[in-house]
Amino acid sequence: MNNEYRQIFDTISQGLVLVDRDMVVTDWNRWMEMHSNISASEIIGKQLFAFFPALEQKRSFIRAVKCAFSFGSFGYFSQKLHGYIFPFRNPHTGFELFPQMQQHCSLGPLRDVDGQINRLFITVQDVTEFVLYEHRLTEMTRIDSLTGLYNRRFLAQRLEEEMLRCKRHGHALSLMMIDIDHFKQINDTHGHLCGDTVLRHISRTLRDMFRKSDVVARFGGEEFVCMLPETSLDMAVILAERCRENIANSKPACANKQLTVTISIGVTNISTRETTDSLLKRADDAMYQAKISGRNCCVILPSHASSSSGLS
Amino acid sequence: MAKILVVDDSLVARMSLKSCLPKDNHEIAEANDGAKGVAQFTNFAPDVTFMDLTMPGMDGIEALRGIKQINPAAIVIILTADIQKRTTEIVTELGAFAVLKKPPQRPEVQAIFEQALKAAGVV
Amino acid sequence: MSDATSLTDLEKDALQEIMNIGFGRAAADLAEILGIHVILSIPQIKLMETSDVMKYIHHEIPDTNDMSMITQFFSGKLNGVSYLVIPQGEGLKLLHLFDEDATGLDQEYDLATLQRETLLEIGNIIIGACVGKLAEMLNDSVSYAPPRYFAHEMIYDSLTEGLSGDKSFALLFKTIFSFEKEDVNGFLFLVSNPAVMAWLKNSIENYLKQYE
Repeated sequence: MNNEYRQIFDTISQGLVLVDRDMVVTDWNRWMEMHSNISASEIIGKQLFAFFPALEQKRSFIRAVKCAFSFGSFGYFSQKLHGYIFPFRNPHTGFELFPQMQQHCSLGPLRDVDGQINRLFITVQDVTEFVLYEHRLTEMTRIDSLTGLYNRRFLAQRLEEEMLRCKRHGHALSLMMIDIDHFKQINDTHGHLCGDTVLRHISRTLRDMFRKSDVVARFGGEEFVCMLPETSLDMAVILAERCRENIANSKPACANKQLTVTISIGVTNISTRETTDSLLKRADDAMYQAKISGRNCCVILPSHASSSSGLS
Repeated sequence: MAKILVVDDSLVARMSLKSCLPKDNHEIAEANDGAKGVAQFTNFAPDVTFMDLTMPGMDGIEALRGIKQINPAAIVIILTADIQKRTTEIVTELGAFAVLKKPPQRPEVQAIFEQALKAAGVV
Repeated sequence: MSDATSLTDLEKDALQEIMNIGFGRAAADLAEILGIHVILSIPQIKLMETSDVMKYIHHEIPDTNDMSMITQFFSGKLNGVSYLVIPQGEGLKLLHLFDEDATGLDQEYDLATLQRETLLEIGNIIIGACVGKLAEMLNDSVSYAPPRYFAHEMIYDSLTEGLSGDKSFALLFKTIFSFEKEDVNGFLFLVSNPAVMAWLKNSIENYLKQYE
């Protein structure tokens, strides 16, 4: 490699690796040395997979390598689908989210003077910072900042997706609509800061009661929705009652006072011919029933019911 | 001196195969689709048949079947661009004598052809 | 049509045979690499004015509402654009076939993103196989721009954009590909830059020479 290209090869802020048909490393640039802690002299002449055994099991990588050698095509490994190709430590912030450096990688053929493909180049781009930024932005559009729960927009989106899935696979789906009892009163009596504390308290309590696959969202000022995929109505009813009880028995503190808070819950499940609107409406109707039944209770409106049954 | 039948819808393919065959005094007939190929097999009675697989109308596999029905001992050499294992398995099961990769290469073609002649009892 | 923009019958036959072989090899290599039986239909070759390409594609694919498309520019002596068009539902099937080690599935990426990324990867492989083998048959080596993804309405817009400008002839190759186990079907169009014609005729001549 002539002098200037050699300099580019070593100073460029990207990983560059050259391998031959046996996947033996023939060149390893300084960026790779830095982030892998493997020096060029250690790895050149050795098989790439000896240092990165997981790569040999990665089918899409092997596919791309074979294609490059067979067809001369280029392979692209987006961070979105693959995360990373080389397991390097994340050199930035956000370690809890991404312990590994996030990478966009590509590979392609190198031809000799006879036009035969005898080597491949692999490029590695560190995109961790972009991914972190994107993650933060996405979070902002999905998360309600006060409570830390998902927001209504995200719930609506997930509900659509989940309903499609359920219809396709015949899974169950249950929904809870929750409203804080006498919330306006709490705000008027104890002030908005206490109101916020109550909101946060209820959010925390609710979120701790559900699984990662459930979606707990702040639906309105004082309303919450819990979407429970693959959960039967019977199970949802049990969970709803547990929520009601936990909240009723908890005594959130604010400004040296112990407050009493209760919630009203409407529970329903999905039917075969249903839209997100009809599902939410039925949950809302159930919750309304709970309110007029005296609050601090759960009302169930099964998807095929014409009347309701109650629990208090 | 043998009788050879070449079945392929491409003029160029037939030309290129013929140019690979030994320059001895063989009688060569051609057909440009599967149906004509089977008909020619009956009329011309070749010792060795070269058959392309991908042809419009009746394809090579159907033609191979047809020929084998007429004469189960027929020597048919398949020429194909599609050399996947499945394809090779299918034609071998149907009784193809050999499978050659396209485009035909002279040494390969002549070697197989010699074996075919021996099998056909023509020397 | 003048000499430089048309093919004689013999040249057409030769090109067809070259393409059959090229695509046959591509299918075989794809099968080996992807581990499943691949079928590429006999490529149809058409020579037409660039402005007619859109009409032709419209005719072959009347409704792009349910389609995804991958495009990739390639350049060597053989240069042009490839268009891989897959019906939406088929794209999802591809996802099942190829997503075994996609980490994206663990995270919160939506189905649309995953499908797009998978189609890009698979599209790249298929296009690379077909264009690569064809170039090899014609004694050429090509390089590729990164593949791009288009869905639904954007498909016609991008097609129109890519094919406008040059008011001369385009060589169009069309094949239908299917993966046997999953029966995913789609179209592959290669539209080659008309300036390629002279070189193409030369390559065909060289191919025929080896059989004289």
